[in-house]
Amino acid sequence: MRGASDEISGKPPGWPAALHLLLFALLIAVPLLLVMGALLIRATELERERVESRIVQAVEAIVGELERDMDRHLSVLRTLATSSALAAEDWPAFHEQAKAGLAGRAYIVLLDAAGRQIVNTYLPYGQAPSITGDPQTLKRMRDGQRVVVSNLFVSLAVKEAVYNISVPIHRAGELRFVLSIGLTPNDLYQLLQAQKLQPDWTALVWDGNGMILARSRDHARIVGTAIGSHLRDRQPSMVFRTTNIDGLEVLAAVRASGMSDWRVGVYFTASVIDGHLRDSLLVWVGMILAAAATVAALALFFGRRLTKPLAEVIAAAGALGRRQAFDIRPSRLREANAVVAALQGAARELDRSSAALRDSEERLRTAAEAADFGPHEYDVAADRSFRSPQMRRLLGVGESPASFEDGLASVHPDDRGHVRLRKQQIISGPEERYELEYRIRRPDGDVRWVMDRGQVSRDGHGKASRIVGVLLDISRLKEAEARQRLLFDELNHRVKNTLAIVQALADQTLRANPDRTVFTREFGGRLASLARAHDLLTQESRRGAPLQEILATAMAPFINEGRSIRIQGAAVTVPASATITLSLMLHELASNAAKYGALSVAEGRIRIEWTATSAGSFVVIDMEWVEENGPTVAPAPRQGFGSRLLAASAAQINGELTVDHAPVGLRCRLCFRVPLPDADQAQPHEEQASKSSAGR
Amino acid sequence: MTLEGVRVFVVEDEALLLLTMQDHLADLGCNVTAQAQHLDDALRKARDLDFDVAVLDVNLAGRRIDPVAEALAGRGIPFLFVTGYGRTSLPPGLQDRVVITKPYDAASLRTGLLGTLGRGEGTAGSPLA
Repeated sequence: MRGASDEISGKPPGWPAALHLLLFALLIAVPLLLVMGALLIRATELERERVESRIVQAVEAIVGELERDMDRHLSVLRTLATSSALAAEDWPAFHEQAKAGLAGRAYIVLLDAAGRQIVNTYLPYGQAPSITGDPQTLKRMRDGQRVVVSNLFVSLAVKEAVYNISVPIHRAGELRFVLSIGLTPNDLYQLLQAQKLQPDWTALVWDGNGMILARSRDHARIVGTAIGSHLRDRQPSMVFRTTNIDGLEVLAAVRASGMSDWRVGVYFTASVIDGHLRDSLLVWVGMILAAAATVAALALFFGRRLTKPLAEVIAAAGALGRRQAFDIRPSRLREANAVVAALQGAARELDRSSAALRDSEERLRTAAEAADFGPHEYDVAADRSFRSPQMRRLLGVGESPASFEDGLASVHPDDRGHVRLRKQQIISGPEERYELEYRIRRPDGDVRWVMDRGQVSRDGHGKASRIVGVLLDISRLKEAEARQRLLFDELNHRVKNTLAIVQALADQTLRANPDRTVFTREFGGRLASLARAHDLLTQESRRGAPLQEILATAMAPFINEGRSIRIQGAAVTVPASATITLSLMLHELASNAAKYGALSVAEGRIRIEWTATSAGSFVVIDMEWVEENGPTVAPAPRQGFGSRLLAASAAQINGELTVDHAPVGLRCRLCFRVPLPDADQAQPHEEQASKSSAGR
Repeated sequence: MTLEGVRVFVVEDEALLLLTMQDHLADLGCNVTAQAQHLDDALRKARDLDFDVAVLDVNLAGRRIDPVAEALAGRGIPFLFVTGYGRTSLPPGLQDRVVITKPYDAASLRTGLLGTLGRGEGTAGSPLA
């Protein structure tokens, strides 16, 4: 999970699953909420319309009731207008008649065309005020109006605000009288009360002057006051919003009475309707909030169901990238499970292929180690060399980027100039393959020979882009080559030395024996002796030969003839160079014995005996050649070749030679040193080393 | 040209070759006034003795003749080398000296000696060198 968080912290582009879900849910929820809001608003509207229509109904009902009431009063007036007392102008009788018809309800006033009160039932007959208190009505009658419902006026009889409903009475086409019924606003109040309006509703009646006739509430206080212009000037219409007398915001409807100039209004405080609207809005907002919260919670919940498996898949992919194992239980998301299964398959495949790659690399590495070659690759454009561990080990350098010049720094200074030139040629030239041999010098000072072989990749213009090669340690090969060259030189020297000896043998033999037959025999014998001495060295790998064998070989021709020759002494090895010298000396002694000494007669004997004594790192060999039973020997007349050779040979091996030409037989004693067998190991090496340097 | 009476110092470790060299030199009329078969002996004689020319075997039982040659060069005594290895085996700085390669014959010895002594006919060494 740590790795997954690492990767997630990088904030890859795109939106989280929860956001997608939230968006999806909102796309569905928002229209639904809008529809719901519209419905709520519509419901509120309907409610308002319902309320408004009820207001209108109420207003119209009040207007109807008012006009029915007026009609009733008109019926009374019309009945009175046809009375006989009126026709007879019997005013006291008419007064009584009118009073009776009212049943105490209101009062009747009769005016003549001049506005003089003739009858006023409010007062006893004869006490009526002289003129009318309502000249407006008379004026409207004169204008030809048939029925007049007056505005509010102060009655001269009643002494308070009243109103009249009046009809004209004509005689011979002329207005003769005006018959009125006087009413108090209190009657209207009763009428409004009878409507049984909603408690928070208010009904209001005002006259053509805008004076309030009645109000369903606070009637006593309000009546007779002027209504606000905002209501008075309002034409009858649908419901409107305004401010009432108490300064409250109200919804109101106004209707005009057809029979009068009066208006009726009904209103109620808008806060009631507004309250409904507000409540609806609150409900709606609440629903939106609840829906949003639910949607967000669900999006998070379902998003988690998606993101959790996805996070595990991401972690698994990260683990796969790091080649780590991952173990994930199946989630409830099928696609995530499919990805995990695919990742597991990829991991198995990766394991298989990386195992194969490892095997292959291991094989190459093992081969490289076994063969001591170091692969390397050089990127020409970047001037950067990639060296394998084997190559770095060969050069003795650490793991650091290497440039062209870094590579040359490993080359031995003596070879560097040449290698730089060749490598520059390889990079610029047309060669596809190259092979160089040069020396490298490691940081520890060790110098090694290497073979540098490689292949050059070139771009379209023939310019080298990449060089892949191997460095092969050929130091041992070079050493072997050098050793072989030395051996060849040494062999050449030895052959020439041997030829020189053969030449000298021939020369010396010829000087002593000009006769061809003798020369051939003598030279042949000496050559054969030399050859046998070389045979000895060949058998003993040229390091030297046992003295016993040197003697036996030298005396072999005579031993084979059955001559009495005794060879006795301690086991001791004579070095190679001394072996040849000693063999030639022995041959000369034996030849001399065969010509003049013990071997010239059948009973002659030769004893060769020696002792070997250790002295420091040497063994001193004290050897004696004794001839017996031979002929009497006369001293040699002159120094012949044999004597000279013995002397020079003894000197050559640093030996001490004593030759005693005794009459009973020749005695010869040779005392010389050879290296101790223990020192055998060191001695040939020393010799070889010096010879090597000589043959340089 | 003659080599009559020329005093020669011979350095050769191999007994048989020493004898033969002596004989050849005697044949040429030279006097072998000194000889050495070992380096120490040769060096001592090269420093102390008086002679006209030296014949030096390059390799004395595995030891190089170089000190002897240098001593002689220091004394201004002419010398020639006898070797089985070729010119490359000569001591450093003395590689332009006369060389006789083994095996050699009397004629090349004579030419070599004459060249060494500056009595040659312009040839500085043996044709076999």
